[in-house]
Amino acid sequence: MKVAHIFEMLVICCSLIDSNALGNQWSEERIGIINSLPENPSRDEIAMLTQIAGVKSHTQEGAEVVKLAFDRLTSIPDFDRELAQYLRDQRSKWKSGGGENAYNSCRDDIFDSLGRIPHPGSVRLLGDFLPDMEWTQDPIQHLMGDADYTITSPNGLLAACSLGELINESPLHKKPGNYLEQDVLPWRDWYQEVKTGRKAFSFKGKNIEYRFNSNGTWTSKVIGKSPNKDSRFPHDGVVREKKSTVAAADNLQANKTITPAPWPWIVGGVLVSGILALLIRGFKSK
Amino acid sequence: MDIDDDIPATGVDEVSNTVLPDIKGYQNKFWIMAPAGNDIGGSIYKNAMKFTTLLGENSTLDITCSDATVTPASVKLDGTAAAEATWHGTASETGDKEPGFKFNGNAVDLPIGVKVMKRRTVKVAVWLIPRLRANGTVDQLLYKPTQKELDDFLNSVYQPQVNMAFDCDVIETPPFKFDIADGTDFGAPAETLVPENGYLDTNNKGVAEETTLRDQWNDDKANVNVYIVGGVLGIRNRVWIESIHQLVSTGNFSLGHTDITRRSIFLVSSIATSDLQGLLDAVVHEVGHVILGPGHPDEVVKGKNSKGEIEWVNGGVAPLNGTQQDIRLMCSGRKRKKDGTARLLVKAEWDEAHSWCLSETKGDRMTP
Repeated sequence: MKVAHIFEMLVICCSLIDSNALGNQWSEERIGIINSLPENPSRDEIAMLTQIAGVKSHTQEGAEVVKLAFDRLTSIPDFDRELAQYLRDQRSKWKSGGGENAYNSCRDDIFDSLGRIPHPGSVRLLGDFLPDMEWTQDPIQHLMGDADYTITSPNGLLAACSLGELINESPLHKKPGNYLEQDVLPWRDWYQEVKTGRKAFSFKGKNIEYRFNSNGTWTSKVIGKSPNKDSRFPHDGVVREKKSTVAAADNLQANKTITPAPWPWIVGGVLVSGILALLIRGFKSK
Repeated sequence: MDIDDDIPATGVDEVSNTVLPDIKGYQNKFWIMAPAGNDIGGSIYKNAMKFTTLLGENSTLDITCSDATVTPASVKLDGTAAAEATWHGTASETGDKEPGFKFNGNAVDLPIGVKVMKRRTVKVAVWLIPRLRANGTVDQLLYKPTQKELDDFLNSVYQPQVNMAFDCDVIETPPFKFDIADGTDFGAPAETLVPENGYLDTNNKGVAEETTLRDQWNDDKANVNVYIVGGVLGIRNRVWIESIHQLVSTGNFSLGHTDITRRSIFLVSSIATSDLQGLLDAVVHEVGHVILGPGHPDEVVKGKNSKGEIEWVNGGVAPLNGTQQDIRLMCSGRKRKKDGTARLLVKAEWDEAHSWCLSETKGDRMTP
C-alpha cells in the first residue's frame, strides 16, 4: 500500500469520526422513538412524527432520521385527518382556558413542518385549514399597542405559507414569508380546483404530479425531469449546507472562532504514528 | 417565616404569591429554583437564597426535598439575621417539588415550593448587518456587542432563574441592502411607501424587510436568530387600510421587534439606541418574547379571552397586576429600566421557559 493511500484513508477515517460525533444523541433518540411507535400511533405521536419529518436537517444522519419519520408518517392511513383532529383538539384546549402560548407553539410547529413534508396528505390538511382565520389575539389592538413582537397568524394564513413553500406553480408570485391575510384567497381558489381533481399539482424539487379523486384518494404520475430542484427536502437525500459555512465562504468576519473538535486528529495522529512505526520496523527487518 | 433572594432576580419568586388568587400568574406559595447540572465553569450549579424568621432565637429549620439537595440541610435561625441556604437539583428532568420542613424538630407546612430545572443550552446566531444604501454608502452599526458581552449578559439574566446557558455566535455580514420594501409588501400600491426611508418596515406578521433579512441570513440550527442592523432609526409596524386607502404606520417606532413564530429578533443599533447596555437590554428582553411568548405585564388590559369572556389579556403569562413591574424582564420598553436591572422572571415564566425548551427539543435545535 502506498503512503499516499494510507493518508487518504486516514483523512476519510477522521472525517467519518467527526461527522458521526455530530447530532448522534438526537438521531439515536429519534430513531428509537420512531421504531418503538405502536402500529396505530396516537394523535400525539403522529404530531411528534410530523415534527421530526419536518426538521430541516443539516447532516446526512439527520436526513436519514427525517426520511425514516417521513416514511413512517406517510405509512399511517389518513395521517393528515388524524393530525387535523389533533389541531382541533389543541384549539379546544385553548378555548377551554388552556395556554395560548401552548396552542400557538403547537400549530406553528405543525404547519411549519408540513411545509417540508411533500405528500398529498399535507396538501389535503393545509387546504382544509385555509378557511380558518381565527386569531388568538386581536390583531388591530396588537398593531395599535406599539407591541414589539409578532402575533401568531390564523391557521389559514399559516397553511397558505406552508403551501407556498411546498407547491410548484404557486398562484402567487410572492415569498411565503411575506404573505398577508388577502394572500390566502388565491390559495383557497387553487385548493378548490385541486380538491375536486380539476387541477393537478406537484411539489418543489419533485417530478411526480398528483391529482385528487372525488373520494379523497389520489393518483400520481411521473412528469419527467424534476422542475425546480429544491434542496430543502432532505427526503431527496440532499443535505443542506449550514449557513455559517456559507458565511465563511463569503469571507465574513466571525466574531467567534468555531474550533473543530481536535480528537479526530489526535486519533489520526496516533494511527499515523502507529503505521509509520510499523513501516519503519518493516524496513529495518528487511 | 420569610424567604428572599440573596441577589435580586436569581431564582427565588417571592412576588407571585402576593397577588389575589384570581390574578393571572398567582402562586399559592413561594418558589425556589434548584438548578440541576453544572455551571459554565463546570462546577455544580447552586442557587443561594435566605430564610428569615422572627420566632425566637436559636431555632432550627430542617429541610428535605426529593430530587434536590439543600445546604445546609439544617438551617440555624437566630431570630434576626437571615440565614443562607443553597439549592441544587439532582433530577435529570425538570419538575415541581414539595420540600418537607421541621421547625425545631416539629413538622410544619410552609408555603414553599422548589422547581428543579434541567440545564439547557440555547444557541443564538447574532448577525451584525450594516445598511447599504442605493447610492452605495454604508451605515455601520453604532454599537457592536461582542460574543462575550452577549453570552455574559444573557447568562447573568437567564442562568440563575431558569438554568439556561447561552451560546452566541456573532457574525459580521457585508453591508446589505435591506431598506427596500415598498407598499406592495403590505398589500398596498407600491407608491404608498418609499423604499429607502430609514426605517425597518414590517407588520405584526413579520413581513417585508424582516423577510428580506431572514432570507439572506439565517442559521436553522440556532434556537434564535438575532439581526442587529445599522443605519435605520427604528422599526415601524405598517398596515394597509383599504377603506381609507392609506398605508398607516401604527404607534411609535421601536428599537426591537420579535417574530415569535420564526424565533427571529430584529434590533436597531443607531443614534436612537441609548448605548451598548441599552442594546444588550433589548436583546435579553426580545429573547424573552421568543421563550415566554407575547405580552408585557405592565400592558395588561381588560379584553376578550379565547372563550369570549372579558378578562385581563396582553400581560403575558404572569401580569401579576399591582406588583412592581418595571423590574420585570418582560416589562414593556416604555416602563422597563434600561440599566440592566429589569430582569426578574417569576414562577409562571419559569414554567413557560420549560415548555419552550420541550418544544425546542422536538426539533434538532436543542439537546433533549
